[in-house]
Amino acid sequence: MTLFPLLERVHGHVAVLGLAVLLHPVVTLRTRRGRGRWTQLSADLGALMLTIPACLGVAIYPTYRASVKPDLLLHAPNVAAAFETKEHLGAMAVALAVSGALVLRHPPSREAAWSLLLAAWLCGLAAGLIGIGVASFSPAGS
Amino acid sequence: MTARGALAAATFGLAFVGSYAAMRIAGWAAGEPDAAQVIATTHVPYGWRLAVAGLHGAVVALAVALGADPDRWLPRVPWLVLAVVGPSALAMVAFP
Repeated sequence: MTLFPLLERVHGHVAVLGLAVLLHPVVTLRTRRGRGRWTQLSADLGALMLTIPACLGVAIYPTYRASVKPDLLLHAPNVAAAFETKEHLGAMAVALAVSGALVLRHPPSREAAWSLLLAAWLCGLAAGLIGIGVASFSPAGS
Repeated sequence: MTARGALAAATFGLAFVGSYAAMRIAGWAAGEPDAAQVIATTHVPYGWRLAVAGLHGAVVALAVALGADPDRWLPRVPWLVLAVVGPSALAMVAFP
C-alpha cells in the first residue's frame, strides 16, 4: 500500500473531525453568555485540526496532480472542477478558523470571533462535502 | 490578547480570503490554460496563491494593527465577514 491513499484518508478524516470540533464554539458562542474555557479550547483545537489536513493536502497534491487529476479530467471534468473549488474553500476555511480562534482570545470580540468561526465552518463544510463526493468518485490509489 | 491583536487577526483572515479570491479571478480573467491540456507545469498556481494571500494577509493585518481604531472596527467585523467571505466563496464556486 502506497503512502498516498493513507495520507488521503487521514486528510479527509481529520478534516471532518476538525469541522465537528469547530462546531462547538460556533454553537456555544451564541447559546452561552460567557466565553468558557472549553469554547476557547475547542476553537483552538478546531483550527489546528483543520490546519493539519490542509498541510497534508498540500503535501499530497503533487501526487494527486500526477496520478488522479488526469483521469478525472478525462472521464469527469466536472468532478475535477469541483475538486478545485474544494481547494479554494478549504484554504479559506483554514485562514478563517485560525483568525477566529485568535480573535476569540480577546473576550469582548466574541461576536467578531463567532462570525469568523461560522464562516470557517461553512466554507469547511462545503469543502468537506465536495471532498467526499470527489473521493467517492475516484478512490485514492485507483 | 489586546484589541489591536484581535483586529489584526480578523484582518488577516479577511485579507487572505479576499486576496485569494481576487488572485483566482484574475488568473481566470488572464486566461489560464485549460487544465485538461496541460501535461507539465513548472509551478503550482495553488501554492503561489496560498503563499501570496498569506503575505497579503500579514501585511494588511500589520497595517491595520498599527493604524486602525479597534474600538471602531471590531464591532464591524461580522459585517465585513459577510461582505468579504460571502462573495469570495461564491466566486470560488463560479471560478473553480
